[in-house]
Amino acid sequence: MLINLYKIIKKFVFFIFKIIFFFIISTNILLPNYNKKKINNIKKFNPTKVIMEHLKDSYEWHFWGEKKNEFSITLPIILWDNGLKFFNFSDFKNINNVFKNNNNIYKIFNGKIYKLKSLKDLKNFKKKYKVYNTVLNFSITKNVVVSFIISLLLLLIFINMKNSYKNYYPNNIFGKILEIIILFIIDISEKNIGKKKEKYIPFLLTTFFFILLSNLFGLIPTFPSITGNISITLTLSLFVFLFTIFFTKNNFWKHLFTIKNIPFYIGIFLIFLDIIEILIKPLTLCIRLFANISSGHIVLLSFICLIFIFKNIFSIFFAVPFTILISLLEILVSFLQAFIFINLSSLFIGMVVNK
Amino acid sequence: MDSNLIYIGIATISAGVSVLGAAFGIGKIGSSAMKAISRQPEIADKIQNSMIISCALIEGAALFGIVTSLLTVFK
Repeated sequence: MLINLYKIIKKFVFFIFKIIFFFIISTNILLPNYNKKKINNIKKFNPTKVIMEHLKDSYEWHFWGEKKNEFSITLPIILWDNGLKFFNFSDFKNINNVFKNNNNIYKIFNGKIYKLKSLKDLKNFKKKYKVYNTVLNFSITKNVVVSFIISLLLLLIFINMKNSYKNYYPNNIFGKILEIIILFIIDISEKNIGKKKEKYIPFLLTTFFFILLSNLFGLIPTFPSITGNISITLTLSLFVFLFTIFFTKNNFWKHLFTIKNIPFYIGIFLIFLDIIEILIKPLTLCIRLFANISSGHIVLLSFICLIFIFKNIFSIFFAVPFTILISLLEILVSFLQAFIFINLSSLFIGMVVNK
Repeated sequence: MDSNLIYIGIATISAGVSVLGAAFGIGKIGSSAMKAISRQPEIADKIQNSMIISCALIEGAALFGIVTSLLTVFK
């Protein structure tokens, strides 16, 4: 009896949900002040542009608002062009994104800074921008600022934790929580590397906490996800690459380049394959982290963009729950990716050390 | 027909195909790990660890495909 009732209620609820869903999609009548002319005048909403602006790096940290109500922090631009040159991004904020400075004219286009010879070059710049030279760019962008913040936070937390130890026991909240995770990572490195693990534990711990914190910071609104940027993940994996090259046993390179008991041409092919293997291992680490985090953010943003695509208030009822669910999933992914990065990098190091 | 649309269509299909491959591989790993754990529940930890590693390796291959298709879409 009870089960039957449960089934009937379940069917009924699903039926109502279906009706609401299709009603929302198929109608625009529910929109308040519905006016076709008004809607046609509004600029066409472009979701890919919004998503790419969120994922890309930029010279200003935008918080909220547009034009007059905008609240954003402009960040310094540092260029190397016959000596270091310091600007602020607010100098570039005009119609053409151009700044004049002592006979030098700089222009920002698609996030890159070009050096122009005269102001006449601005005509047809979009078509022939590849002709002009780019300048070496060391500017402190949004992602760099956030990575500084994260590293400062890590320093604060871990120096506090270190100072709170008395008789091998932490007297600090961070210490009590983080000790479990640290022991867990040491266990992983014990499994993968073996007895020589102590050399590599500091590297593994710092990368783990850096990746974890930057993943979690990316989920806070207005903060950029710095692990969703391929250059940062590339530098992280570059360290692993350097470890696998320089901290090897003496006979590692010898094994790589010796051809024994196999035909000569196959041996050369095998050497070629080995070198590719050394290069690809850290590259997969880089691309895995980048793709996981950025794809999660793309899914999150596309669910939010559904509201603006349907132009209907009632689309909130399925857009917001889905975004909450996916952001919960993203918390899990941020822990999992940090764990996998550490696990695989220790595995690669262990393969080289124990060969 | 717009040539840009054709590119986007091909890119989305290629992303779907790469995900299919990854799903097949991860499904096989999961099923065999379940079988192994049900046979020998004592070494479940070891099996889980190696399962996650091999899942990550397969995922990496699939993500290569997804990233290339993303690059074609957003270009």
